[in-house]
Amino acid sequence: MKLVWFTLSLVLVGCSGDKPVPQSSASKISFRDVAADVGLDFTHVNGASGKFYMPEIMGAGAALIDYDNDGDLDVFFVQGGSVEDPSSGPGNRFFRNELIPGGQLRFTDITRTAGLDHRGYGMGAATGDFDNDGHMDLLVTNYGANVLYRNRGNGAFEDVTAQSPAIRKADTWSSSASFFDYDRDGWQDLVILTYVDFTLKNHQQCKTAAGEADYCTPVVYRPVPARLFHNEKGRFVDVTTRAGLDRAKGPGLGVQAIDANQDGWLDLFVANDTAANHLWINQKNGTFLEKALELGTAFAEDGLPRAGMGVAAGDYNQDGRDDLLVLNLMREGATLFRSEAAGYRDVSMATRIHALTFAYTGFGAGWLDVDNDGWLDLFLAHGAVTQREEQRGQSAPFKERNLLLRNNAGAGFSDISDQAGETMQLAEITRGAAFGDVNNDGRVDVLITNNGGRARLLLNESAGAAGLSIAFPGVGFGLGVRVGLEREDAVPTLWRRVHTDGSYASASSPVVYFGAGGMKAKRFVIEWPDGSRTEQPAALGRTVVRSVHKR
Amino acid sequence: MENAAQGASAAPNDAAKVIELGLVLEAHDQHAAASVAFRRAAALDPSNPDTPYLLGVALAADGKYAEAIEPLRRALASAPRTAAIRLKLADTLLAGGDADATRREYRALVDADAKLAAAHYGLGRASTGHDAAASFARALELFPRYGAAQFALATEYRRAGRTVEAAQLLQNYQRDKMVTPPVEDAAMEKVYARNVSSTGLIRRGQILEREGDLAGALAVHQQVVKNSPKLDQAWVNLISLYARSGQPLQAEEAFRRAVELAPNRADAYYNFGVFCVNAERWADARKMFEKAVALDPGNPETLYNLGVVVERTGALARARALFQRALALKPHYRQAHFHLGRIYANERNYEQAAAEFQQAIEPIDAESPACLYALGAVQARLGRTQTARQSLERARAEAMRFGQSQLAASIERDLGVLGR
Repeated sequence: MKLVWFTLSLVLVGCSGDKPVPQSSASKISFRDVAADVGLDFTHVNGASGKFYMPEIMGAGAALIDYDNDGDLDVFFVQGGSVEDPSSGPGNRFFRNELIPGGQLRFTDITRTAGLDHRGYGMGAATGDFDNDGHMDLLVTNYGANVLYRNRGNGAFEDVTAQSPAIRKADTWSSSASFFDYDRDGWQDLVILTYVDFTLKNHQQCKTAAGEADYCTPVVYRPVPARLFHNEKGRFVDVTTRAGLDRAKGPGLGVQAIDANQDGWLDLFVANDTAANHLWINQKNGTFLEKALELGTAFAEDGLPRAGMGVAAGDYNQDGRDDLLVLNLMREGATLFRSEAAGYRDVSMATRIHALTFAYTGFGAGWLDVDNDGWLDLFLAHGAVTQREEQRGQSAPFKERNLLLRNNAGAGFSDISDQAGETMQLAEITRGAAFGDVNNDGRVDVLITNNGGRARLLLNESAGAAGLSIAFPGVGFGLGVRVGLEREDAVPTLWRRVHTDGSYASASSPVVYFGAGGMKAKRFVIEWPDGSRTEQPAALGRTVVRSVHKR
Repeated sequence: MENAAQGASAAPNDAAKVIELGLVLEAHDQHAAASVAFRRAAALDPSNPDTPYLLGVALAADGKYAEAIEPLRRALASAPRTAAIRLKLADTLLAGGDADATRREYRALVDADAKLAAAHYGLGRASTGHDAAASFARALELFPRYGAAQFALATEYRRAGRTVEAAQLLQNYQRDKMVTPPVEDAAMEKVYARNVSSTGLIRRGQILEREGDLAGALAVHQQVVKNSPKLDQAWVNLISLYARSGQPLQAEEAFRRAVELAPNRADAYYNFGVFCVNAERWADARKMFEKAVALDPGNPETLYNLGVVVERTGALARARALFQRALALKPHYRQAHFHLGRIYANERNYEQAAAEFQQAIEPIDAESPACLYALGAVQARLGRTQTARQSLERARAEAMRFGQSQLAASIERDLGVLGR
């Protein structure tokens, strides 16, 4: 039965809706790590065995998820352990945010009571409401069997993998995943990327140019196709072959559901490592066709593949289309594909993205308007996968700085990391990055995970007024909804999509944030997955649109 | 590398020794360390014209584009007619995002040497729309197998709605993606010459092969197996290099050595299978492709090649299954569609045959007349005289356009029969 989205109610949080947001491009930008101060005590264990098993250098991600619908974001960390004996690892961890009702940002470890104390060799997390009960559910991807958790809505999750056994697949290495409704039936489907066919049995020993043992690149293993699961009223059925997703294989690491051809149906972009990226165009009949080469996202402008890892879709140039950023290997530079009428154009060099990112290996990534000027800036998480020459002899010679790049009104980017606080100067092996407003101050914070190191919560303490946000609590949490912010004075409408996917192996908050760029915000235009359109007055603070659908 | 480091340590004020260290470091992708050596060498001997260029190259390779500009400009000032230096300067400006300066340098290159394909390609990269397309097209006129230019021109054609031409270019690009035109660069030759590691030499050999220098590629690979006789990749490459150089016995020996070292390398069996096909050793070719498919069942080219060999034996059901598997992996595999169409036609399944031939027609090129001819033939057998005539007439026109006079005559004859 066709499901219809509609607005149930509107709650405005905050006030001063008629005041213009101050222009803040010159504002002080600051991110500060508060993880230790607020009880987020998590250290990733990569299980580095000296045998250089490839999964050791690839994990792991995290999720920002409001599991109890109390209005603040809780934190889930994916843990590693031993590649040789995954079940012996320390296990994943889950922390409840006590901000509401406690009034203070503080986290409590509730892993066991929440039923999330699974032990495996973890890679990533994805969030969605797959059973349409208005509680955010969780998928954990592993080197080994994946685990699907249903949020029971009573403070605990239950492992329901057995009800969707195809998800489990113990003999694969899964990376990122995304919940998205590809057939518009109102039930969130699921795509899980599988990386390469590495196993302990076929493990290869690779070396640096100097002959030292090192982690391999994915080319020594075979790529494995992504797997697509159709949601049949809360149970997932593997439809990979039926949907055509096994027609192209790739070592996939980053995935985001986007509407690449603006036809209202969600397509899939997959960043592949050392191979052509995939752009699966939704044929509106349950099948997909791979069109990356035709639409310009397979390769960088020189026609060569890059080592694609993290991905972030966002409208950096305010033209109403989501552009695609793909993070690659050191000495390749990230690739920014600008969406145009006839596909995508690689604008990495012209925007200086290439030059700014050339020295780094990128994983987590997200678009966020740090200075609330209306232009989406970038947070990029970095960490090498093979030894960095200048760190030779160190215990983990893979450390790199993360970057914060300011969007210069769509004309290009500049590095503002040095002005963004001490935390941004650290060199670590960052993998996951999840984005969301953890302390409800109207600014997007960043949760990052470090391979073999401590996780950090980078609180956005930038000066200047907060922006606007819009949330869709309730059934489905609005995933896939497109929101436009109309402002006075005929400036372009700013468009964002509600999503939790993208980045690398991590899940972000589904709340959408806007900086109004000093303009008076007028209204939100909401494009629902069924094609209908509604409007809401826009106000500073958070607008809440509660959404349900008819069955 | 150790020798070079010791040499420079023993004589830190000897510019030649320091340059030697820089060359060796650069040859092994140690760009940051190489740039330190080149900087010191430039200070010790400012008269050496190569040093600022090499410093610029090392800095650019390390992503320090802004820093690389000054030494590259200095190098250019001392050798203004050296295309390689201006090309590196232009490429570095492009990578650093300085569009105006990039265009100026590529334009200067084109003005100085209108036959430099790399300069036209660069000018295209720094331009947009029609200007970009014109530059890429010129680069391809000068060097038709220029993979990056094929890709770039296809991208521009796609944006302009010229989808058929774009598809054709992308098809060529799949074949030529690593092919680049050679640019004379004496300073960088010194760098390449210092990477005498086997993997470095293989990389050099692959570059020479892409540039069309088969003899050079062969010589480098022979050097590799002399130094490292257990490097299976070199033997695998040699199968193809010997075969294409008309040295069948050596190709056989290379295959023997490759599988002895790495019995599960599908590409060894694949390369030798192609050699056997060219030598019309069909039974051997089949064995090779069977083995390659067993080792790597997800390779559409291997499945297609095996299909072609099996089709020759008359085992059409097996061949059909192989082509179908190739198409499942690579849906736009034109040759597989054509062969599958032929099998359906042979089985008198004309509807299916027509559908397959239809998918093999585009992009329009020298292969299209045969596909159109086959399509017309099965349409005639389906009793669709009008559409058959249209297909055959189009086949005839395309055959004439591509200079295929014999094929055009055959089509003419069949058109006559259709008329009766």
